Amino acid sequence: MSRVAAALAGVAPGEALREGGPAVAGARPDATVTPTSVEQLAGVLKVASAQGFGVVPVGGGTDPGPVPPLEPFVVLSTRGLRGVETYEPADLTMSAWAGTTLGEVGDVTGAHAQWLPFDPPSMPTRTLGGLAATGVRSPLCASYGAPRDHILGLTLVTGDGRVLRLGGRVMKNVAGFDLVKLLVGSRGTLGVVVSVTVRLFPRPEREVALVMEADRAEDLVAPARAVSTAPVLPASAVLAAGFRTTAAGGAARAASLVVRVAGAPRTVAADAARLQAHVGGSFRTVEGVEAAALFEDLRDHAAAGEAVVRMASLPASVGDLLAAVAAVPGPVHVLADAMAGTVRMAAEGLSGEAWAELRGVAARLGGGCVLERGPLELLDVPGASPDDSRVEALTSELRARFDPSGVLWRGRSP
Amino acid sequence: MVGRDHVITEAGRLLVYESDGLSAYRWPPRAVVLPASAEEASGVLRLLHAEGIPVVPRGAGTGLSGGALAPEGAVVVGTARMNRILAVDPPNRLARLQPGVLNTRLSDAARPFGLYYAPDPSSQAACTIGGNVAENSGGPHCLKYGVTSRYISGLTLAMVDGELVQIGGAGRDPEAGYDLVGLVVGSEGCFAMVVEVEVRLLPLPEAVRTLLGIFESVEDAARAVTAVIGEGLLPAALEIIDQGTIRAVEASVYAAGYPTDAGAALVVEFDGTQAGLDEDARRAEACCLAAGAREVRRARDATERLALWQGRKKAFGAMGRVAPDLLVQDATVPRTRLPEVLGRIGEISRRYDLTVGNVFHAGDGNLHPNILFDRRNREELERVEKASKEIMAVCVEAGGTITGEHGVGVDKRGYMRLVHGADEIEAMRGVKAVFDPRGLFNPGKVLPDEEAP
Ligand SMILES: Cc1cc2nc3c(=O)[nH]c(=O)nc-3n(C[C@H](O)[C@H](O)[C@H](O)COP(=O)(O)OP(=O)(O)OC[C@H]3O[C@@H](n4cnc5c(N)ncnc54)[C@H](O)[C@@H]3O)c2cc1C
Repeated sequence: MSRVAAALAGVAPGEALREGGPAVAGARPDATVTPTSVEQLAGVLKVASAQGFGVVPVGGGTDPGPVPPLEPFVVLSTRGLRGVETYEPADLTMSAWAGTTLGEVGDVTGAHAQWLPFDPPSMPTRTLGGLAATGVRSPLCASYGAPRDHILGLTLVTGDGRVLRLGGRVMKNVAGFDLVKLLVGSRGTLGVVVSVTVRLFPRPEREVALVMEADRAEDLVAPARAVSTAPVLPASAVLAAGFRTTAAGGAARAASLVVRVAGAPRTVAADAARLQAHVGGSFRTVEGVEAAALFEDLRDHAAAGEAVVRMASLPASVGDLLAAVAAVPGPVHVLADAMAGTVRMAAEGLSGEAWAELRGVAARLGGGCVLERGPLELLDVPGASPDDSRVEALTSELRARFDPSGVLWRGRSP
Repeated sequence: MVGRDHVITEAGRLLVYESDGLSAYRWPPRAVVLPASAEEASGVLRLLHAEGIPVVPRGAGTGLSGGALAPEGAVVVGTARMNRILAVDPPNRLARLQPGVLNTRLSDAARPFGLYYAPDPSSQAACTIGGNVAENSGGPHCLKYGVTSRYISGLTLAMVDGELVQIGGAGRDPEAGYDLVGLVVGSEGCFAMVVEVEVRLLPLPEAVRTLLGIFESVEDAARAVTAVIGEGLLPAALEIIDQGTIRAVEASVYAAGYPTDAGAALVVEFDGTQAGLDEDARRAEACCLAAGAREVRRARDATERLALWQGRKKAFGAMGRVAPDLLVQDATVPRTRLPEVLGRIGEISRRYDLTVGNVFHAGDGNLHPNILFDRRNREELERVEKASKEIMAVCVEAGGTITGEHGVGVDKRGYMRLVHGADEIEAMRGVKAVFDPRGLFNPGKVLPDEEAP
């Protein structure tokens, strides 16, 4: 038994502890712990803090990021903490353990015609804890808001094993500093989220997809921009390249603009008509199970591949981002969020030059460019980054407050 | 640095700055400085920091928890002159502005582009965006659209030592790094001074439908709220005005034509695409009638809409005229607990022989039990304090919290331990210390005193 596993045997007995485990971004854990209680989980962090080995919290394992943690470390899985704690449909709120998957949440809320309106890749296998930890943005945020806006409260175990109950389960809450916002998107660097309370939404009665296709993505930039400045806000609007909409009865064209419109039946028809009129071009309308299948395909589009890159800018610059990814050699898959001005690109292989080029474009636009997944060598390619030294200082001091021994996600910045 | 005229030290001119919307307190500041730009604010803070002088940022002073009060020896840095809208960017639906811009002025500036700024505190004609950011303010239409934090995409801060730091920004990667913008929104001026704000704008809704349900009791009105939400409807606003408040409004110059024998009135508003609104309104009307509404009025035009809203919008103003002082309370409970909590608040007010008027954002479960009193009557003041504390305890017991939108300030520091444990409060203290290690920024606010060991 490794030193680390031996140290943990006292706090996480039997089933909860296993030597080794699947690699995280190529790094091998000494052990994988799956606590079944908050006390056990806090115990693991206390031992790690005392003994000085690293801890990497993992939920669904769908979004590990490219940077491997420093060794030695253990993987701390939240999958032993699952299930709904409280669900009050009339309040549109739910509290559930962090290891509960979004698919499981959807099953429970769906029975009451409610949902959590987020659509990141691999949505059903992501966990609620992971949703809080990543704060992941997805196209539906355009109309519904982001996870940060709807996570009402969470329970956190800090790096040194303190259990903090942050926020609450009410819609509006300004009782003290908003530590929930600090935690959402902190990617496991401040603590392990063990339970989450979210605001839910009534599931729209009807959803349709307005689809426009073209041979080249750039031909769809103007209509996409028209959608994102239209007087009516769609549920989401994405532009996909390298995506085949044959499943939805369309021709296999190289690029498609898909506008999602949701609401009561009459509203959907009127909104769709207003969007058509504003954009001018002609959309094909896809509905029912076909539309549902299309949304699911788009959700996971451009999320798998050897390299996955996320770029951000203002909505008006989405065409520039698309031009930049179109210039990457080789076949790429692209999903642009027309409302947010972000682009996700997946490629089988990405050269150092192409990566540097993408970062250059993002920097010129004052935006961002992040490697979500990809070969480690790319991270060594130098690139211009804005001077954020005070922000970096604040970041590391905040981190030290929550994880004083620095055990969480060693080797990675948030 | 800012010009002689913009440094106020004479007692007479300081009077305006000795209190805010929490009328029971008077704390005269040592001086008031009014910079006109981020750079000037930065210079002022650098100087005060070098001298070790505590700072209190201040917007319009409409805050209801005493956040802008100046503790002994503190200098107020006001944003009254930082009132320029720097850019409206319709293609990206953004605006950049200085913190002293009034909330309504922002929406006025956006309207010609078919856009508006969603969070609409009832004080919107008087309060500043900087104050809204500091308090994470809400408003009647936050039920559908969410509170301030959802609309703030970037901030420029003047840190305690004067350094200017930009955080967030709509064009930057929203998932990179910690959400410092989210952390600073709602920090009640305790972390840094907000010197520039970037906000998201929304397209103006095509149409609006407004209903007013008249109920025999406030509990019935609250049940109607639950029924409307249970229908899967998402109104833009769901606001309740109780009998005491209706009577105050009707007795005032703001008389809105609400029946004074009614137990409560409920404003229901839908906005969005014209086509679906009548159906939404019909379903909401049915919910009101099923919950026992004696009558449901429907606005046919903009004038009638204003009339239906009048009683809600003028509620604080009218209540304020009934007695010398009004304590505007604020708490949130899960929506389904409203009927029970309102009943218990009624019981508490009777027990302490106080007049409490409820006017509130019912859809969010955000209560405002407002207590009328006379601050010169010490014995009454004591009853007010006791009743307030009991009301807070009732809300917390029901799974709620001690403030939904007005903030903790000085007013609710004593209640913080009702909702937070010692570790949570220490964590907040630790985060404050990261921004303000010497405790010079708005000291004595939000966090309760440290517990004696
Ligand atoms: C009649 C009435 C109705 C109201 N209705 C609502 C409502 O519906 N919803 C709601 O949420 N609130 C409401 N309020 C409360 C109040 O208007 C809000 O809290 C408002 O946001 C305060 O803005 P202000 O400019 O007056 O800020 P101030 O009162 O001047 O300051 C409030 C706090 O913000 C800090 N602050 C101000 N400017 C800055 C800055 N630039 N940087 C850092 N900190 C700063 C101050 O230090 C203080 O802690 C109401 C108040 C009144 C009097």
